[in-house]
Amino acid sequence: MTGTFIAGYWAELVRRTLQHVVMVAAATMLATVIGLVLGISISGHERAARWVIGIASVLFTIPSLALFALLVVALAPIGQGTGNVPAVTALTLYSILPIVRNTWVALRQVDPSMVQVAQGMGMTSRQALLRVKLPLGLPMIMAGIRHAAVMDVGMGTIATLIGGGGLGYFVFEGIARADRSMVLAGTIVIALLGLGVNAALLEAENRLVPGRHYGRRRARD
Amino acid sequence: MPVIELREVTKRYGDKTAVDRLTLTIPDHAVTILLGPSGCGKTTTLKMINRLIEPTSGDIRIDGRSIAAMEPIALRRSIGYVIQETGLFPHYTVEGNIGVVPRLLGWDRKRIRARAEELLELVNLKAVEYLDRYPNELSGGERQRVGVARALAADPGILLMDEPFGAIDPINRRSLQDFFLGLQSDLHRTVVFVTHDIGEAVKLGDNIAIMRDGHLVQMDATHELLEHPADAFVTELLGATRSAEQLLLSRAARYVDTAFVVMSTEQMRRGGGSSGNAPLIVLRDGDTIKGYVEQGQLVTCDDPDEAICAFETVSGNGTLLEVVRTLLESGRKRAIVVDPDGGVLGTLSVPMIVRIMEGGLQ
Amino acid sequence: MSAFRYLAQNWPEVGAKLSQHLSMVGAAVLVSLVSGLVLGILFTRPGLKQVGQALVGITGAAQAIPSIAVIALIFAYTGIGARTAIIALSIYGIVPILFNVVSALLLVPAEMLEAAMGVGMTPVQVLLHVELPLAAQSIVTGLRTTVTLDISTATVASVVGAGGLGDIIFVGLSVVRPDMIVAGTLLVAGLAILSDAGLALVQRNVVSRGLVHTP
Repeated sequence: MTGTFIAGYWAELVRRTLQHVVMVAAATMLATVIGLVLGISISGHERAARWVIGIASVLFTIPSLALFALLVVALAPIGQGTGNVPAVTALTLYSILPIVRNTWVALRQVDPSMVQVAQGMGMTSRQALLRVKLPLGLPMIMAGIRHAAVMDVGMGTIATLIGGGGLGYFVFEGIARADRSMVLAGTIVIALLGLGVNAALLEAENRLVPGRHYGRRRARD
Repeated sequence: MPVIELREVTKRYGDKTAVDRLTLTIPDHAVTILLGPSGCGKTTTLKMINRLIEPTSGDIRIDGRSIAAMEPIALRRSIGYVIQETGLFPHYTVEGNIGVVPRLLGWDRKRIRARAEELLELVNLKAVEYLDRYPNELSGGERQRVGVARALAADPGILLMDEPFGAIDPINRRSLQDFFLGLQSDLHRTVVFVTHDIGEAVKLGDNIAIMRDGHLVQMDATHELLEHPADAFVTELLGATRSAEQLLLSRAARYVDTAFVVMSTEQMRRGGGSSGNAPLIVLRDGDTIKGYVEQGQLVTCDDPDEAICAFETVSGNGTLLEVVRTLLESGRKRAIVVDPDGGVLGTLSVPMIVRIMEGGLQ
Repeated sequence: MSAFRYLAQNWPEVGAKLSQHLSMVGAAVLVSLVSGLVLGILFTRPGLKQVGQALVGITGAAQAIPSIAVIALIFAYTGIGARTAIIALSIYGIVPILFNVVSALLLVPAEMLEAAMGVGMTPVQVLLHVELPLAAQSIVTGLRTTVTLDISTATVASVVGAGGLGDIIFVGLSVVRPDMIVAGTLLVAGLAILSDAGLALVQRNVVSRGLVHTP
């Protein structure tokens, strides 16, 4: 039954999967830029950090449907009340917390003697950040980005309720029509997309982490 | 107080034999060290005594009763167990940690608190200051003292100690060892102490059992063992110990010259002349040691007070090295060695220590 | 301000939605917590630790499956109603709790367990007095994730006829009533933030001060 549905709606499934991926990618990238900038600028400022992370945590706690709906109301005056703009905005807001928190923690955890060595070699603090701290903190920052992207895949389904695109259509429309195969088709694709994004970013994490390759090579020697 | 007997005890893991037909009698009221290279089976042996590990065959008896017939939980509650600092529970305060076994035994709160205070006193930590602290608020040495206090909480006759000072830096380790010796000279527990540090073994042990590949190689009183190593393995293991530097780490109390008499200054002035041939005289008025008089000195002096020599006191738990250092720094000729209660154990001088070393190194 | 007017004028109905929401989430959290704890403790006992290790991997990956997918999946079999939502939330909510319980219990150092046995604790006492207190921080973190997730997912569960505060938002969206949207949003967001803050307080109280690392 579900198989027949997938065959019949193949083109639609592909189109909406692509929409979903674009929406999630856009939100994750925006959040990565914002999260990195915020995370770097609050590092070393204990009080500012507490505020930024506190606010991001509260945003993160707000149920997804509530935040989407709130943005519908908030963005209506500029004519963007429905569609992809409030959807991507909501996903971006959610994604900031994991990224900013992990960036902050990652920079904090870097061994201070590493930074001293860098400064001792004549690096400016900007160079020390770019060449030492960020590379060393990369695994943790990547984990934050992965967490955000995986979450966005799930929350992206809500977009359809406020007139955005994506795979949520099959789930909610399927429920409304009491069409089990439509629901299942959407659900399976969403679950696979979530697992796939997680696995892909985990693999990227493993490849980007300095030293892991080195370790592997040494182990083989 | 209990004697621990191991008879033909064997522990096998698959085809690897960790302990092989070990027969050993651990005497009561004394510190017995299990010493050997890593993997020799010493820790396995220790853990079989409180049944954290069950032997494959053989019998272990405490006071003649086989522990295989005892309830393991009750057995463990009756034995103090000290391990490296990870053994303190991080989520309990010092009081909570000391009170673990008493709580398991169902003591009431007041009694546990009183016991905790008493024990902290015993390990030289101020109760008011430490009772409510958590392990992460203590230094390594303080944690180890609390660990010992916890092991003593239910007043066990036996203490099992598994490299308890292994994770402590050398300077603090030395002071913990001194602290432990002082405690043991008050409490006289039956202690089984695992270490791979030969200096520690010689300093703390009344007896040393040397193990290798799961076998007992030699078990003897410490000085016996140093003087008469059973075979080449022991000689090699103790090689460093038998060298001058290591011998100097032996406890002073073990080597003191005990030929002396104690009298008050008053007694000496009155009857001094008649004791012309008496051995060395230690002068003590009440609790205060005033000095000493070398053998025969009184005869040659008109005024008995001129014969009184200045001195240094050292603890009997200190090492010979500390005695030498004290004497060389102060320029005094003789040290009076005292026990923790202030009792005079005897005296030591640098030439005497040199003679001891000559004897020990032969 | 019109949102507050809406709340005041429709309080009996809004209150009923709120209590639906709370009982839905409450029932699901209870089921998830009990089963997560029982399974987590079971699969970290000696002999079953390998199963526990595998569970860490499985539950870690399972968290990548969106909650809405689980609701939809259950809906396909149980149809319209609060029952669907409660079953879905219960199952989905086990995942973060189980993940945290198992990984925290597996992280308790072996020497600590040996010390506990060495002083004469029974296996049950070791669990109650050593393992669970050491894992408390992580267990409550898992519970917080589940509660936040359940409150959020229960809102969306309105679409399967589960009731709850989601109804207010959905009606508001479909008839374009900003006052209803904002009112529903404020309630559900407030509920999530308050319960998380409450659990943070619980966490501070159940976790021993000796385990809190002061930087």
